[in-house]
Amino acid sequence: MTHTNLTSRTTRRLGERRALRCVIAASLVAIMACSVSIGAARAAMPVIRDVQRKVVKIYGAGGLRQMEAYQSGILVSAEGHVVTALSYVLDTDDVAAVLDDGRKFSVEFVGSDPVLELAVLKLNLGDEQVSWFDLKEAAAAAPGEPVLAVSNLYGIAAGDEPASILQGVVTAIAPLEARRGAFQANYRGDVYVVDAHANNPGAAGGALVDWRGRLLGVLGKELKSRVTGAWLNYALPVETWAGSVEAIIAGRNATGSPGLALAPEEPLTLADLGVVLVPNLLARTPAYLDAVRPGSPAASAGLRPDDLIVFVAGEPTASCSEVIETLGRIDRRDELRMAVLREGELVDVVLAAEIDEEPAGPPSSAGEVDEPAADESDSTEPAAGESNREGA
Amino acid sequence: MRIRPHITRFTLLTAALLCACVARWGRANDGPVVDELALKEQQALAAAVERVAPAVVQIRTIGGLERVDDTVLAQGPTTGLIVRDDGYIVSSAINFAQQPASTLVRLADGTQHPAEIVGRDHNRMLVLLKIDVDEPLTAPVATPLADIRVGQRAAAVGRTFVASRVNISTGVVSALGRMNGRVLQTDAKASAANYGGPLVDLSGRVMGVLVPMAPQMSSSAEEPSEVAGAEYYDSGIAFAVPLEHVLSVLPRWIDQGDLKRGLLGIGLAAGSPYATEPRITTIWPRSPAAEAGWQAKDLITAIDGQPVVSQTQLRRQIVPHYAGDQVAVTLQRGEGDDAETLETEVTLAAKLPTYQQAFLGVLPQRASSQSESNAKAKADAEQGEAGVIVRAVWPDSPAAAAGLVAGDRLTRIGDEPVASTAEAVKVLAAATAGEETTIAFVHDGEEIEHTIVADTLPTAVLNKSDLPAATARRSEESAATTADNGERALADLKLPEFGQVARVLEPAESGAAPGLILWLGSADAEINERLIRSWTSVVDGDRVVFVVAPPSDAAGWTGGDLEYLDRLLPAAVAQYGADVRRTIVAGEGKAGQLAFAMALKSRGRLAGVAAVGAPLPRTLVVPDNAPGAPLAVLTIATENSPFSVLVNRDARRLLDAGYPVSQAARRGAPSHNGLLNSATRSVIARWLDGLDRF
Repeated sequence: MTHTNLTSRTTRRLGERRALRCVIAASLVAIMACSVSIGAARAAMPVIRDVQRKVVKIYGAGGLRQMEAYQSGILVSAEGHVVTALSYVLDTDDVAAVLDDGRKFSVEFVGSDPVLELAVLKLNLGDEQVSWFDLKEAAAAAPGEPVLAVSNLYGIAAGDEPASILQGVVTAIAPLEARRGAFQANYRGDVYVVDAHANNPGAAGGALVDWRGRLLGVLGKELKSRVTGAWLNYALPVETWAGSVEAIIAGRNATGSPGLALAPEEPLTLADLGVVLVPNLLARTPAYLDAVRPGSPAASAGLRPDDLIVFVAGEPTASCSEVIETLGRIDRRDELRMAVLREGELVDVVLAAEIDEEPAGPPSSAGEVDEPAADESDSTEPAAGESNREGA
Repeated sequence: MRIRPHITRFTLLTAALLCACVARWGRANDGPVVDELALKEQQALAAAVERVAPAVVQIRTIGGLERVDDTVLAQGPTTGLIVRDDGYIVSSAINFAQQPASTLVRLADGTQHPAEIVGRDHNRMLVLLKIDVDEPLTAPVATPLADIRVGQRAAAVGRTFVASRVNISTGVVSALGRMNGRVLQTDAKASAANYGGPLVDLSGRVMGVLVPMAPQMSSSAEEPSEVAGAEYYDSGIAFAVPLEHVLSVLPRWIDQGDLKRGLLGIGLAAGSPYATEPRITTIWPRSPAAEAGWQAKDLITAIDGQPVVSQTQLRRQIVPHYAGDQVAVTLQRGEGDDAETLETEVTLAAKLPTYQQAFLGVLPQRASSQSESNAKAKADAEQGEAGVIVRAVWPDSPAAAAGLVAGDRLTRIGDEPVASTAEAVKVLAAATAGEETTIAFVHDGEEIEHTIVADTLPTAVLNKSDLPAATARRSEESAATTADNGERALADLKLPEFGQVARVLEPAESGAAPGLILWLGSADAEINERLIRSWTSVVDGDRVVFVVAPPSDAAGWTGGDLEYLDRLLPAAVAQYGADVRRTIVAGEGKAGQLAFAMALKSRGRLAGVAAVGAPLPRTLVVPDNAPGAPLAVLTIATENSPFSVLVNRDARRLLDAGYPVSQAARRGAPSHNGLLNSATRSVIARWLDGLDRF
């Protein structure tokens, strides 16, 4: 592979080949462990075999460089309904699903949830019988609990080969703060973060199960974490999507997906507060106050120039851009709590809402930093960083 | 379905094994559902983590850089570990690589505290923080290093994804004493999600603090990067600094602030470090090794009583130490029956003194032609008159103090006879400024011996009157001749792989090896032609080959042109037989910045760099001047230019790094095309004319 071919996905980890080797080693360890009596985390063989019957290999569009033409899916009904990732692989009329025993079915597209980025397919079973996960019997897991990720990652399983098993533990249950290239994931709710390399190409749509074989979640698409900057291994918990999937199967529109924050009617701006930040020149300019307008809510709350804003409405803010972005999610008619660092001390302040229909008075230079939040974050953040990194 | 070629082998292997396993499962359907013992072990580990969790804190940094080198830094919170109940917290250096403006620590109970950085451990890539606390914090118990076994269960813990709960990844201890004995290795996944957090054992004790780390291939004195090793994240190879070590060094760390790597200041024989004996080849002047009386050719046989027979073993004994540590070193001096064993004590240094080349103040006579030079050397050898003829003596130099004058013949420096300039330079390279030595020279047929104190290389540019009158006069004559004869043809120099054509002006008369100026010119051929013509009197008068290279892009010079220049320089030097001791690269503005980048990168192939109105490139790391590859610098600031402040500041930086920096100023506006007035050209020419000094 030449240097110019490197994209985000191949730079993913130092030597994907090695990662792959680890993955295979891990799956083999997990599988072999079933037949020996010593070793690390393991579930018994019948459990694993049972889970493998409920995970299907899905083949569809793609096949170009870095766009694998396959992914994984989970059977969730006796009628052959499959939950999988909503992706380009499904962008064709010619999607096929292959079971662990080699049976191959054409599929029809039932519906999708664009927020969760999940799709529901139905296998044209005819008279055939299949095993499936009953969503009503799904389980939940806590951080530290051992889990298995079951998927056709890298398309290794072919024909009548069952999906690969990876073992790991739940690392955390945390909001999905992730991005794919320059795009953010639509879903912002909690996910299971795991310490297995569960989300490699082809794994999306696979199952995360506990050692008793109970379904915990569906493996998501490849994403990088905004928090750690690293590729994320995660699954969407069943309880976040079971309702939506049942609605799709029942022929209703998917509704009530959690995780979409509504933008406030009248977003708060710096001018509303009566403060000017220092010029936002760097990617991470610390949010120091440059000026405070006399008589403004900020002045009444006792804010002073040179205060460093570190929390806005309970959310940590590491830079001017983050302050502006966070304010944009708050309605200007609400009371606002902030914390600033002043001479090495944390100072909490409460800013009363300013019901003032007049345009904000001086300082007029506030307009300079008072851009809409979205523009700020888009222009300064990951997109540029990502492309530079790849170019380097 | 498409499979990447490189995974095919694994596919086949896995497929075969999977089939085998599946076949067996078909018959075994009556076992227990879950291995309860393994589940209990896993749960015990999670419980152990919960015991340590109160000591795991979340760290938020405010402001700072977005990336370091090519690594985009994590934007989210990071992890730290309380190490003492009065508010000391340790974390990984990578979490602070962005040089934040402020730092906040969130304790497990949810309280927020501003933190100050007490210091860094540059040898183990840690950072020590301090917060003010009213009540004692919970500090974890360290697993004694002696109790840690390879293969035992381990959990890597961070507090990154959510503040209220720690994140966990599990594995085993993979190895002890990695990275020259400084860290443990684990296969638990480590990344920005837990760097700075603890590696916990099954009993709820802390084995170590997670850090990214990469092996240092060279023993160079450069600081290791804080982001090195971060590319191995989540790979199954992770490192942790033993907490036992952190606690043992904590009082000293609090006291000193920063802990640095300990350096000896020696060079070792080349070869595989695993198979080559630790025999010293060079001693860095004024280094711990020099102060301890070590000498080149000594063999290191033991450190603190531990025998060492290879360079790897030596590193393993030295690398874990910090600057300031005292180490007992056993040396063997001499061979066979003459060998003696020396017991020495060295105190390791944080930084080796910048190298200051020793300087006598001699400008050697350049043979006027190659044939004459050969004939003279032969004659000298026959008559026993070997030595270096002095062309001029640097004013106020040690040589001037010793009474040396032009026309004398230098025959000896210290105990070493010198028959040529090359030999004299070699002898002086091993000496340092401030050293006392004797020189011998022949004056009016009489041999004189004189004790001198070697000086540092001068930064002043010689005046015309300091140089032999003949040179100055000849240069004027040549200029006149050239004017009479009209314009000489320029030569082209083109490298086959590159599109650019460099233009060259050679001295009119043949003679000794010429100097060479590689001028980073303009994309405009006409400007380059005018530029090169303006240097005609210097080319002829001082015997200098003048090469003007154009950038590949009409918009000007970029870092991408370095490859071209790196190839052009040796080609030009070879083509015109230039004297490397008087070969320089030069340019104005952006071209000057690139000249700096090139010169600092290819030290040893260039004697100097002259930059007009050019500060150092912003991202350039200035390496210390080193013996064996000395580089002279001439910076010319344009008066009243906004850049002149930067130019002068960077001259200071280069001086601090041990380079002889000559500074000059020019009047007028920046020319933007390298066309300089005659006064500025004259400064560059006189500086260049003095570069073969020693």
